[in-house]
Amino acid sequence: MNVAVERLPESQVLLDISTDEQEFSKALDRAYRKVVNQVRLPGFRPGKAPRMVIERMLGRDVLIEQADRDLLDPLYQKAIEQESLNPVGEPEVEIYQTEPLAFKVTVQVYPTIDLGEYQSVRAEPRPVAISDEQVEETLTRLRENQSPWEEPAEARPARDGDRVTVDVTVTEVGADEPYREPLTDSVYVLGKDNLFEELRDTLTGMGVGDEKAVEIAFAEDNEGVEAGMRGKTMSYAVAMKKIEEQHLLPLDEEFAKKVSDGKIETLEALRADIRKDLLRAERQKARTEVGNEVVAALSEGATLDLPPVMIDKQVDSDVENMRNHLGQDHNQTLEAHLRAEEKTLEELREELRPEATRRLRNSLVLREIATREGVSVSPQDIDAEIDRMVGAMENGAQMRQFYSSNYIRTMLESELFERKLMDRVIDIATEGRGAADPPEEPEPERTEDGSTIIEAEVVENESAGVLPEDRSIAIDEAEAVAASETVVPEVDEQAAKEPERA
Amino acid sequence: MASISSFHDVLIRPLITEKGTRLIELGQYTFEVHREANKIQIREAIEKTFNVKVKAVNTMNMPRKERRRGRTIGSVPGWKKAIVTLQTGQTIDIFET
Repeated sequence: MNVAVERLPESQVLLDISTDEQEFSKALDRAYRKVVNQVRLPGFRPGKAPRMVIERMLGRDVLIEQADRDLLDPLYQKAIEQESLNPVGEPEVEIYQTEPLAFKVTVQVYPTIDLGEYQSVRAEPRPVAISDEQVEETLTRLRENQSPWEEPAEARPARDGDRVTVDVTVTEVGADEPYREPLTDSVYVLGKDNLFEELRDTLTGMGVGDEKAVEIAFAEDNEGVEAGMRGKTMSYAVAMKKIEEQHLLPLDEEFAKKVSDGKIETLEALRADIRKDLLRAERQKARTEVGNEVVAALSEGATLDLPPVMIDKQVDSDVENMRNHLGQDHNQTLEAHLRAEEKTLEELREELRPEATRRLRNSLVLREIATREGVSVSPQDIDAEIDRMVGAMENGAQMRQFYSSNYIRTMLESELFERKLMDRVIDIATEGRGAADPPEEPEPERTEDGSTIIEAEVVENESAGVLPEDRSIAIDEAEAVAASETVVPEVDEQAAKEPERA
Repeated sequence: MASISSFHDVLIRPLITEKGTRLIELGQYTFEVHREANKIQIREAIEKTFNVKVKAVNTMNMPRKERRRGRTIGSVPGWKKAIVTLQTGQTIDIFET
């Protein structure tokens, strides 16, 4: 087998593969043995016709064709291996000589990545600090969430800040039927929940048992309401059923115990805890920001020519994600969404393309760095991580078993890998100072049950979107990359669902 | 084909079968021939048609075979087979005919 390689732009490779006489005649032999078993010739039992007879009766071309077909794939694979290429797309084959076989293959391959001076990329740590005001703000929010709603001792009209329970019927003025199913026992906090101003004004001042109606005219171009209501006047009939007011709990040790399930004794300790949580969220944010910044710079500094197939696959997976997202969160099909947006699928894909390209590029660059820096995750690392997560949990044994399933382990592996890689990258870029200033304490502590009291915003490091499955820069890169965007779910979330099934 | 008017009528077709192709290695070629043809006529026909020298001719009459289709009973007619042995080194391209 002779192979000539020519590199084309967009990470395409043109292979010119040819066979010699000897190799080909062997292939012809094999082809004969294959064909002879498949044909029935009168006068011969299947598989018994001599080669000469086959050649004379069916034509030599049949054998040649079969030989070519049999040779094509192994030769291509061998050539790929010999030239250590990593194809990502379907090869395009052009046979220009059948005997002995010679053909040209154009295929898109995993790009060669020149990282450039990636070790000289620098980033400054982000200063993180939590002010007393932020702590107090969180504390107030916590207090509002925790304080009970009670009906006032004496019946009185609703006022701002009250929580009201109402029935609402919406009818278009002049129409007989309600615009949509009337709402029963709808709960709103006046002045807090998002109500139309007119409606809120109407509700304010109503007593329990009162009924009122108000007409609201929506402008044609009112983006704030659904399309069906624009340019119409709707009549809202409301019936007040309950009025409640909130009695804020006093900020004292009782409160601290209540919100922490008795784990925190004093208000000061609660404040400290809140501060710690906020700080952690802030650090996480800093890490994400610095990480994104560094990755962008690294990507900028690297040279690589992305093959279109990989971009397409990335776009495919983005579209699929979008479809799932729409289906789950909005109960809408992608097609319906496209119709609403008056876009074609093609246009959507075009829109997603630049972003997909950027992410793919980042991901490939990071992956290359991982190889260069020798970042990898060992089974021991995963075990350690499981220990850490299961550690303080109740029903530890059960959770451990759950975490030890292959599926979760794979997920943990990719998560750990991503984390380690990001650490490494940030480490290089900040010269070991870390993403946050002041740097983090050794191990971020978790509260006992693994959750935090405050719902710290979950900052997702979406732009980096690094790799799952296959660390060792190998086989099906495109698929790995495509999957990488999706296989970074919240483990906790999974954990919450799974055990019930078990 | 009632009678044999010339050597062209003698040979009907070469028999290309498993057994036939095996015999080719021995320089023997099998043909279906006219039922009335004798060995001498066959030899002559072979020599003239293929321009070869014949060493020997063996003939045999193949039996007719009964064929049924439903209640109808018929038969494929019997025929004569000839195995022609050529002088060593000579060949016939039986697929040409």
